[in-house]
Amino acid sequence: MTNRNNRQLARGVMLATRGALAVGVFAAASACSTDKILKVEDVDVATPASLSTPTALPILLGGAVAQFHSAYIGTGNNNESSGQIGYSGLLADEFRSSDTFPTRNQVDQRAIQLDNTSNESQFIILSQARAAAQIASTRYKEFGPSQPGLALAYALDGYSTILFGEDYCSGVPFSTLTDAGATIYGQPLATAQIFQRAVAKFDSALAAPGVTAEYRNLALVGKARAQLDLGLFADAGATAKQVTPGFQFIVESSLTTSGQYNGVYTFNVNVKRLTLVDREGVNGLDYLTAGDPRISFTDRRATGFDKSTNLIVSNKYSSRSSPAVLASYTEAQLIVAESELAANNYAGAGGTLEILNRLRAAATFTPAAVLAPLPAAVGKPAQVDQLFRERAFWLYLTAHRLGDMRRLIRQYARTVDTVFPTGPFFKGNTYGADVNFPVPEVEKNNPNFKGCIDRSA
Amino acid sequence: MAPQHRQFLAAAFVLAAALMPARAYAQQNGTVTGTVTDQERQAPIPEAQVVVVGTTLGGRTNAQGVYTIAGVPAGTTQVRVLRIGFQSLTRPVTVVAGQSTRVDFAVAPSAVVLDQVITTATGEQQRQREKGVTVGRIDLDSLNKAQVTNLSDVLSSRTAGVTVQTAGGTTGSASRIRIRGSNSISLSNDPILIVDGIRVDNNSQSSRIGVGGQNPSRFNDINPDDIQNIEIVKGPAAAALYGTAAANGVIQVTTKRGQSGKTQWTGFAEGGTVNEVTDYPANYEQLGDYGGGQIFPCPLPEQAAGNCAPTGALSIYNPLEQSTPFRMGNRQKYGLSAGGGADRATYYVSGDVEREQGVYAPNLLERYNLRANITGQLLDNFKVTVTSGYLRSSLGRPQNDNNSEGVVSGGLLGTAFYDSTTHGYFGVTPEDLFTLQTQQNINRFTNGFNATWQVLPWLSANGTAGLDWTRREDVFNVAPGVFPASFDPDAAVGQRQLDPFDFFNYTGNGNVTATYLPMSDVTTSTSLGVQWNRDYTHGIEAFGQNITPGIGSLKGANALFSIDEASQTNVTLGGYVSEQVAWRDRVFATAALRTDKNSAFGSDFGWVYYPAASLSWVIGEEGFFPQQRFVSSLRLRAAFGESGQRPSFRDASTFFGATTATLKGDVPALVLSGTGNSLLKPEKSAEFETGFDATLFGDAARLEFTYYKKNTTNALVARRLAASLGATNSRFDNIGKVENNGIEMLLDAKIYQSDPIALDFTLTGSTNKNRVVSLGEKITPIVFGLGGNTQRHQNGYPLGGYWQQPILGYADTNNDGLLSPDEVQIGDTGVFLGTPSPRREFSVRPRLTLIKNIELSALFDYRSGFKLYNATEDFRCSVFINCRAVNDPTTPLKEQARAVADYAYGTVAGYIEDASFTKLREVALVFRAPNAWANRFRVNGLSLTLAGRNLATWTDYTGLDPEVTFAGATNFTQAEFLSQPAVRYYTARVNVNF
Repeated sequence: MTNRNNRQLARGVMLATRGALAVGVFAAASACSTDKILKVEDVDVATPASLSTPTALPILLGGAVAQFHSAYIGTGNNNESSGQIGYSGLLADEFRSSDTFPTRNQVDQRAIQLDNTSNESQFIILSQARAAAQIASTRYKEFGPSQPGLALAYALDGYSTILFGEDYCSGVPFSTLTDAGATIYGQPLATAQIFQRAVAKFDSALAAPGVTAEYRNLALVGKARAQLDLGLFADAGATAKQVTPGFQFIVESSLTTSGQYNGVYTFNVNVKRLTLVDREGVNGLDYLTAGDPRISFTDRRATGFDKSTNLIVSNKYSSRSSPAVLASYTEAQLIVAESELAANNYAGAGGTLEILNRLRAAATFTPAAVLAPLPAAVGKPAQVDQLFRERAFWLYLTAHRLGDMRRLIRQYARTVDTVFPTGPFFKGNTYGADVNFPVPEVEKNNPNFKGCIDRSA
Repeated sequence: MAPQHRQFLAAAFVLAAALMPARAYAQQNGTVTGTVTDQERQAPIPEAQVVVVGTTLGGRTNAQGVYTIAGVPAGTTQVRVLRIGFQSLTRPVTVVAGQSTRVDFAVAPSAVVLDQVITTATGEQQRQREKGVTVGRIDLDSLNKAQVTNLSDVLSSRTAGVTVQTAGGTTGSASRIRIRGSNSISLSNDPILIVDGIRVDNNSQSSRIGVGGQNPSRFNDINPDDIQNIEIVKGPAAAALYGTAAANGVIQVTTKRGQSGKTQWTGFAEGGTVNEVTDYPANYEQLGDYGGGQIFPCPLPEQAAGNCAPTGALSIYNPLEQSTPFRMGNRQKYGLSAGGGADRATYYVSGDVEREQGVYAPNLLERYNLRANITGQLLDNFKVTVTSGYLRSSLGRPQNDNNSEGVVSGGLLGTAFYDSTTHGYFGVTPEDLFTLQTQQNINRFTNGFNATWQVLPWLSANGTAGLDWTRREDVFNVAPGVFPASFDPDAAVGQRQLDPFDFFNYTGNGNVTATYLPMSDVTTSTSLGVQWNRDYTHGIEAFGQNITPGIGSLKGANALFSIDEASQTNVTLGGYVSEQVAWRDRVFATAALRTDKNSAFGSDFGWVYYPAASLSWVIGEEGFFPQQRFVSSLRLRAAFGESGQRPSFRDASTFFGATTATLKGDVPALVLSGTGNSLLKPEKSAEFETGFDATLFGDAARLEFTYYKKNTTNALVARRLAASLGATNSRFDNIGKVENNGIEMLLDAKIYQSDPIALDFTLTGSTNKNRVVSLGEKITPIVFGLGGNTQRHQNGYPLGGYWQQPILGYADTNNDGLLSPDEVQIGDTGVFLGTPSPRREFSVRPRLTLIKNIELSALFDYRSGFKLYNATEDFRCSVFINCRAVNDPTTPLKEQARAVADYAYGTVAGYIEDASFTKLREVALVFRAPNAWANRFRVNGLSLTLAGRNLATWTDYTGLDPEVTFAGATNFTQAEFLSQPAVRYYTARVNVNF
């Protein structure tokens, strides 16, 4: 065979082999099950599809409880988790910032910038609490409508909604992410609409077939509170009167995981970024100097995280596992007392003063202390002051005070300058004009939202 | 048998059948052997590559310059020798079947790098002239290792387009590495790292326990003393065949190999000091009367507003200087390696010990490296290489940066007077802080196996398999009773956290390459390949508090127990085909296509395709090109390619995470923890680059110039979800577009060459213009950064740009020497103030050689066109009120203005400063002992290097260091915030070869 023939043979073999190689490699590639090669296990999380069963109901309810805990009393997880108790108390007159974070100092100063990341975090956490309760109630309706968890899920949704109404500006939307990942954007609701939504949630809880006495009382207090926020004093009183004496619903904390820690304790005692305050900004109440046994505190004779602000810690939340009261017979009676005041029954039988003094007489403290009966206040403004002061002391550090201060402006014609801290701010400059939290800028990803409807009380 | 298995076997049969005829054809072969010598010095050249043109056949010379190529087809062919630093030479040879034919080469030194060999994505080796892209190359043999402390230092300022940012001066902390800018808004912008063909972990934030900002990087686990060379594939135009991972570039490390011949021993000993050289600012405080005898701090803005009147003298104290926590650190490294072997088997083994004590007592790094690389020519046409590296290290990590329990923060946020309890620090002394012990322990094996089968003279197959396994153990420990309870009551009772994690990176590559000469002056080469990568991470996090005294493990914990387990997996499967056509060895055209599928893609997304094409024309070798001295060689090149980046684990999934709730006791709970996108696909970066390589004035200068333009589409944008959804903060969408463009140049010039003196320098320079083209429809700017709102990703502006309300002006209208808030004017809205990434970078490396035995070199690095947020001073002025600008009335108004702007208006614009700088990064003086001296010690080579690192900085930036950032190597967050600036090294190193 000649060299020429050899080369031709070689060329032919090469071409044939290259073609066969190409076919072979691609045949092999296509023959392999790529899905099997690419399949990965993920044992650390659960998919939404796996939760559409009756057995998932208590776990999803647990999720709603956990999220509400984060939103209400915070966690030990990070620096943004003092919950609405700490956060609203900072804007009101219960807490002062002993922090170095400008975002939280802005809250204390009532000068919250729209891009304040602490504000954004708190809003998202509260929204997550509402959404988790909604996920739970939706699953309960489908897989266990007669189970008591349905009423609790509705009630937690209602309380989350109340906190939006009391603490945030007018114009909060309520949106939904479906199981399929679709977004249903809510329209911004005016403050009154928010409270109406809360009432509807509590009505659903009360109507749930398996509602227990405890969850019924929880829903009743919540409904009465929302009605009070709406200025429906008579309705609120009627609702609150149905609450059973001795009722108390607490949001529990635990040492088991940091997510279950009491975040107010964490912020106040542990990381020292919040401190109790007395007579904040002229108008603040004299919580610490009143000598009232309902306000138990310890002056640490030390500085907070900023190394300059005196640290005073609350004994109400004295450990990471301290619980917080969400609703109680006491609050129900305070609502009744306010409805009586609205009905101009301040001093009469079953009137405001009688209710307030009955609560004071029944109170017990450790160490022993007595709350002396209140003298009769003269004139409506003084009676309102007395009632709201009683509410502030009974409901101290339970995320009620900011809503009450706004109600004083909205429902009792007080001016902002006579209710909120004002004048020079202790970290420099002066107090701003905020009386509520703005909906964070990130909400503008909701095409229906353009900004708060109204930043006034 | 499952259907898919049957199909696989059928396909394998087709492949095998295709190869069968080739075996018969393989009988008519001969051998080519010979030597390669330096034409000038008449000395053998080891490690030269000798190839048979038009085939995949080749070999390397041993220490004596001898090569052998078996299996060469009988007939007339051409043999080419390639060696960096020498001219390429091609010679004809007639091979007789069954016989050995001798071809010797004497090659001349040359600065031309067109025939420099680089490794391609397929594992094949190509000459630079064949690729239409520029590939950076660092030969570690030519680097004085005394002046570098880790692999990041090796990369820094040596290759155009590669930016290495020294994030901090803590021993063992990561540097931020970017190649041609940042492509991704949400995913990592780190390049990938490949060592001997194996994809390895180069996580630049490799720790589960934070110490304030800086984290170790697995990139720096690679021992520079074991590296032969580094190739830097800069972007998608060159990296298309690397697939869904390589959009940010590829750093390919090749470790050392033995050469056949007598065993060559190399030993070194290195020692030096680590020095803290920063001038830290003092703390100030002015007390004042607020009326009624109330004495409190009375800063200048309050004085200017008439709220207080200063009383007493201005207090000044500088804890970091006057009660210094720093010590002189030290550095030692010792190593011994041996390489050698016979014609059919070579080996390289090495062992290193490294110890670096940083400038803080707990900042101690200890590293032990072992390596064994073995190559065996099992058959004439079958070669295997096994590479194996082992690392054991421990690193003590000091608390710093954004950390109230940090050392630098403690001093800079401390008091303006000495206090016997705190020594002027923020709450506790540095000695107290040093009791917070954070440690990282690493055990790492990187093993690779490579087989090359020369199936036929024109057909070769290559397979690589490897595993990079890292066992990382992060530990935080504070013993009970040693930390002050007044500062941190939890730490005071003792705490321990232990996070052992395992990282497995598996690599499997296989490819075949066929060459074909359809015409005498045309060569074609076809490659087909498959690639598989699997990353698996698994770890446990455990914590406990209230430690029993005397117990050093979690067994002693008595409270706040916490445990968690995490695992994640990512798998990529890809295939590629590449076709190259070479004409007259001057024009090279390449087209390629890669396809990938990845486990992190959305369930509704299939395969992704990345095309690439390039053209290289060595026009300087054309007959019509004028032969003259000014441009003695010239190559034009252009390339286009695409590459990608996969989403992260679970980005595409919606899922619920487990937690615990309290409802009448602890109950299990699930909460929505991830909002996924089932349509998620990889980010895609398309790049076009063009440029030229020229040799000027004979061999006196080499110039490379490249322009690139890179567009990233389908960029993952964490679309912020409306907060009211109550979902997670964001969900990824493939909606972003990012653009990078710039130029790169390299000038390597011999300024003066004579017998006793030689002076040369290398200049590298690059520019980068980065811009967010679009974040996607209806996406508001993404706001982030220290303080929560100092940086933004915004359409039309660079990624991570600084934005704030500007200071419009200031004037001391009442001439009291102080600025009150109403004397400073602030803009209404935030404006763009600058980019945090350098837009221009130039480095100059002059080198002076005296009498061939003494070499003095330096590395100057200039970066400009960027800003840095001086948050250290801002925080001191606006929050802690202890800086000079708010206490000392003699402070210039400009400094007062920026302090007042933040103090009164909350804008930090005045602290976002031009951070342009020039640094003298390295100086090295090498003394190589003359042969006579070396012989006296009975060694082949002996050298002493004296080196310094971080020797000087020239900048207008007023903070501690214009390069550091508290956030370490994170993607974009950048601010100098209470960070340890770069430290200075002085080292001496002795190298011995015997």
